[in-house]
Amino acid sequence: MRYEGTDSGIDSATAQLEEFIRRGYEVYLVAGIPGAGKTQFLASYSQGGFLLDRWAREGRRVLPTSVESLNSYSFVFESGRRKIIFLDAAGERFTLLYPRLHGREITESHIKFLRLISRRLKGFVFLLDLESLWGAAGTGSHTDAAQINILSWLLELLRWLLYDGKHEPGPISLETRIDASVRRMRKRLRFPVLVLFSKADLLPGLPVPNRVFQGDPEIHRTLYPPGENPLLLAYHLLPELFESLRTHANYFHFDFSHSLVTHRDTSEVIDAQPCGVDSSLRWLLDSSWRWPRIPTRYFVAIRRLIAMIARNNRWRRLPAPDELTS
Amino acid sequence: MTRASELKRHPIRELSPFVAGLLTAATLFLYQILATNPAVVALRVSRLLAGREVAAERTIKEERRWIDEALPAVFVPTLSGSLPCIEKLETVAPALRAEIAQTLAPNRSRLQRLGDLYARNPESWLPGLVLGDVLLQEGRFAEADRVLSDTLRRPSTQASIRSILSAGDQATGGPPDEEVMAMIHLLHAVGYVRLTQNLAGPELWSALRTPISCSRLIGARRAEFAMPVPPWVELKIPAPGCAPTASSLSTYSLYVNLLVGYLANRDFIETEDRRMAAFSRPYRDPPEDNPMLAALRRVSEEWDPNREYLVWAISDAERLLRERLMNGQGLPRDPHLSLNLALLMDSVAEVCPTLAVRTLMEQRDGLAHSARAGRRQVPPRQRQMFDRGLARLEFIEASRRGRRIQVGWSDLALPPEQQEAFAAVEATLQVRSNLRDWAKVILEGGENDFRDKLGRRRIAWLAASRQDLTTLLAGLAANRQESERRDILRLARNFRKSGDPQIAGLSELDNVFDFTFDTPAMKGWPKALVSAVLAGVIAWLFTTWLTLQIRDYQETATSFYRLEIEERLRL
Repeated sequence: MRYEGTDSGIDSATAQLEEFIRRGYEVYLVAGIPGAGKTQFLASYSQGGFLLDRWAREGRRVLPTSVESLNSYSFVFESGRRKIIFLDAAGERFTLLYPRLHGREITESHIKFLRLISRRLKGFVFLLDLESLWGAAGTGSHTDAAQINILSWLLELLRWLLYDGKHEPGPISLETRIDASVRRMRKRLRFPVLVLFSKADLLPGLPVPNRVFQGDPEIHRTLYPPGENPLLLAYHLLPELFESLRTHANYFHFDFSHSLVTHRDTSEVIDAQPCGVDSSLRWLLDSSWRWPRIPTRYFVAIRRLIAMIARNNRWRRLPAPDELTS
Repeated sequence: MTRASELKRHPIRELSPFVAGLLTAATLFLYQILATNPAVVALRVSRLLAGREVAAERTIKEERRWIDEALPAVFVPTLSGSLPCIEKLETVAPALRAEIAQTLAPNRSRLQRLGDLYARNPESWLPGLVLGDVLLQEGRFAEADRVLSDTLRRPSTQASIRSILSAGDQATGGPPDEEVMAMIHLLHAVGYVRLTQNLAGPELWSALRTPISCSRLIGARRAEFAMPVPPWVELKIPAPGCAPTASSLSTYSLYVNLLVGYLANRDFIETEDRRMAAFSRPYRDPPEDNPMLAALRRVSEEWDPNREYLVWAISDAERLLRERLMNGQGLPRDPHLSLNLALLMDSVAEVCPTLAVRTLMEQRDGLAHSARAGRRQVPPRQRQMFDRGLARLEFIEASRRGRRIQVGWSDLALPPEQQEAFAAVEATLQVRSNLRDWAKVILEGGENDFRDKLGRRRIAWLAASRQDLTTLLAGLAANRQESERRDILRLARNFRKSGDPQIAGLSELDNVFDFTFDTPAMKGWPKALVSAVLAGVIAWLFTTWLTLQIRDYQETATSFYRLEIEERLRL
């Protein structure tokens, strides 16, 4: 399904989404700024062959999701008992939800779509474009720089929608109301949240901004995704992101991924084999999430404690990337 | 593509929750099957209780009912009927002695001629005593009673008895020894014949009590160091003119018949004054030393007119036993006295204070032993009755001790219905003599032969045994360590059936975490299967959860990206 265009198009999509939800579909939301690679990421997921077929039909090219549009891929997952729908909303639409970026208040109509899916939301994928994030100081846009803030805000919104969701029109803005409510909230999101550092094929050699090392001129660090520990990377280089997930979600995972590698100009597929997509999505779609689990923050705490006892320095300073073993 | 980390996973790890569940279920099933197997349970119980005192109160009570049915308590009086030694009598005219001696020769007219002599000599006690004894020897009790009572009522006899009683323990007073002994024998014979005929009344009590008073004169005359022979010393009272022998009448024979008199006449009532005088004691022995006194005090305090006969018997027995034991004489060895006292003690046990029961049972067992040892001294005419009494003692003791009967009792000649109860109690005692067999029979209900012997009695006996064994095990578990305690309690659960009353200490296992949950209605393999499936499911759930947590922990810092690249490089 593909819905795009005007508000009426979105309304139509919303009506169909409601139908899916009524039929018991599990909803997985894929978010990220424009160009983060959400559509390619989903298209790369070869489970069941469905997406591959679609990819083939469209001439082995993946078109970007246009503004104000909503891609949804639905397919019967695994033994036919689970019905799953992935929602790939246009990045622009998500950025609209972040009021501080545009300097205007959000309204109930902005979050209508999120409110609808929140009831059946079973997982959340956020694609983070590190190249854009760290390059934003020079060439990137505000949106690129605010990726982490956008993610935090989305998590906060979802948390509010799930465990409160009440707002009376009045002098207090919706944003303030959400902020105040979530700050008091003790419940965290119980579905898995997957944060993927997308376009990992483009990241090797990307210099890590010096500011994350407190301006130490002696440290010059570049990224090498295959050898990085994504959890430690997020902990050391993206502390706001790490803290946001620890605050809002019970279960989270950081990883790298690259989807289909296409030619920048011709969109021709150069590398048809994605990496870090299948495993990450399997982690997200694992049917065992219905079991009671120990929150990820406790595992992080255990790891830190073990490292402390073993006098391991990895939680104090980002370790150098490992070499690949073949 | 499969998640790279899963490729490395060993299949057994993938199946680990299921395997864990299956193994747990299988282990528990086997454990349950073994743990609830009657042979295994019985073996464990026998090992646990080995060398311990097995107090099977309810079972003993149940068996006691059957023993009462098969061998009711019959008290055995001492026989009378030993003839005077005519030739050696000194106080009887020689002509009469010669005439009586002639009539005693066995011929058809012996009784008639003795009757003539008896009628012609109203002033002499000899013809009446001889005729009465001969009639007793021939089993003609009614006629013997008539002759003996008539002789006793004669003025000459009454005068003689008065003279003896007025002499008391003054050795110099009263008639000669020969006459005293004649009066004692006459009175004893009247008492015996009336006991045999079940004839109560003042004449019976006079015939039972007066000879004991008369014997004091004999005791005074045989005094050593100027002290009369005390009543607790057995004093032989041979027939007039005869020398004392082992089978001669003794003061104990007199006590025996008085005891039997009380116990055979359940409507016996005395006056308040006599009771006060008879039951009061100047001493206060501790219950552990003098159990009969403790029993006497209790029955006197908790007065019940329906058991006055028993109180009198206890009182007399207490006096006799205390004096013997205090004077270092030990328990009496007279078979009649021993048997009757032991039978009495079995009845007294119910009213005896708990503190005194142990000593009472020790004394009772000692008396039973004496009775067994002296069985050969009992006249053949009384042997069967005596053997039934012994058998009763033996059965009660065996039931109390949980051991099998060691003596064959084929000559008891019991009626069929008593024989049935007899066989039943014999079978249960055989089973109870071995703890392992007992436990196994409780669990399985017993072999066909056992079932046949017990018949309708089996259900009640099994219920009593179940309760006893569970109570025993619960008591045993009370002072053990926690794990051992629960183990013993689980073992005890095997003996419970639906409808059995609750046993203190067993209910603490009633919780869902105990896989051997308390379902008396479900036993054996169905229970084992249900428990095993339950445990298997729980183990599976737990292992699955644990596996998930371990996987989550590992994946928190895993780079799927790196794993997939490595996988691709390998391919």
